[in-house]
Amino acid sequence: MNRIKLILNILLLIVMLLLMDPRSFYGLEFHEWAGLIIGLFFILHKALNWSWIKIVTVCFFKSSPNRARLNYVLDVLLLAGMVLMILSGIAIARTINFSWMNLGGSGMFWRVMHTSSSFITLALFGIHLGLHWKWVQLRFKFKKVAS
Amino acid sequence: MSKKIINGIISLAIVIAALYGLSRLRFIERSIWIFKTNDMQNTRRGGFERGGREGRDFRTRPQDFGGRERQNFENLPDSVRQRLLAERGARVENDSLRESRALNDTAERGDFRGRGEGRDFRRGQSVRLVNVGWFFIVFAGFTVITIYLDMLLKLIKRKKNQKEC
Ligand code: HEM
Ligand code: HEM
Repeated sequence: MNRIKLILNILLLIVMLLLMDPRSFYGLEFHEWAGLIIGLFFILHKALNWSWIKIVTVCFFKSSPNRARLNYVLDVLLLAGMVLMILSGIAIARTINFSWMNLGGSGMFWRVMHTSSSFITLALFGIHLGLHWKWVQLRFKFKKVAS
Repeated sequence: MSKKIINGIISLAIVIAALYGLSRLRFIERSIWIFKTNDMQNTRRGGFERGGREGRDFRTRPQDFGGRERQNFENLPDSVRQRLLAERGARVENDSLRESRALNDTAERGDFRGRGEGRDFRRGQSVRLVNVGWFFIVFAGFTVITIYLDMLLKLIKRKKNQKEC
């Protein structure tokens, strides 16, 4: 399970980085499809950590350690960032036709929202990973022992 | 001990590179863009004009987002485009994204012919990972700083606990 999580996390990171520059990798069409698909994978990432989410949600106002609270707040922000990125991406999409969704708002607003939310979320990702560094170290140590 | 020193040096290098990456990608400016967008005036000054493609897009992309504006954009006369580019020129020199677009004139002409006909931004060069590398370094910078802050906070906490005992 941990190995699957690790591979998923690495994949998420790579795709996220490719998405940060729409010009970097096979143009906007890739960007838009990958942006939509990555959303599903983030849901999977959440599902795999579901037990943690359940426990902390229940205990949040009672007796969670501060660190768990910090992680929780960060996770909620990450999720919000993700939703904003994809929603604004849909609003400014050019190669996939989403006009039927009638999201409203000005194109300018969504465009700025798309840029800012993706930049802020990338920074939050960095912090998120930093807070889970122990887990990452453990995974790589595990790999060494196994080999 | 030597491992710790090596780790420290690598971390420092990552943080320094990340700081450079922040300015190269105009990371902070673009992150807080949304908070500066109270009206069109602000937006134009705050970033679009410097941001390249976007600035031009929005002048030709009015309030609603139907699809019509793309047609307009496509028909934008070269003279107008040139003026807009010149307006931005000076500030944009160090901007890697803009540089990459300017290198390839196709991008400046706008590759998109409207919805449903998705095409690359920049024909001829479909994989270009320079900026992705910089984004990675900035990302790694945030990770490294968090790791060290975390260690520092833990250390402070431990010291505090020791004193209390
Ligand atoms: C929308 C984006 C994301 C959300 C909402 C999210 C949310 C979560 C949640 C809820 C957890 C479980 C517990 C905790 O926070 O302590 C977690 C764990 C983790 N996440 Fe994320 N995450 C996101 C993106 C990422 C990315 C891009 C990476 C990789 C760079 C990543 C790496 C990790 C790691 C290494 C763990 C620890 C796994 C474990 O302890 O089993 N996450 N994340
Ligand atoms: C997690 C997902 C995503 C991330 C991290 C992301 C990130 C970005 C970034 C960093 C930019 C460049 C902003 C700038 O230069 O100012 C951008 C542009 C863009 N994105 Fe996304 N995006 C994501 C998802 C999507 C989705 C789902 C769509 C559409 C369905 C989309 C459509 C666009 C479009 C149309 C542009 C404008 C390109 C231009 O005119 O220069 N994005 N995105």
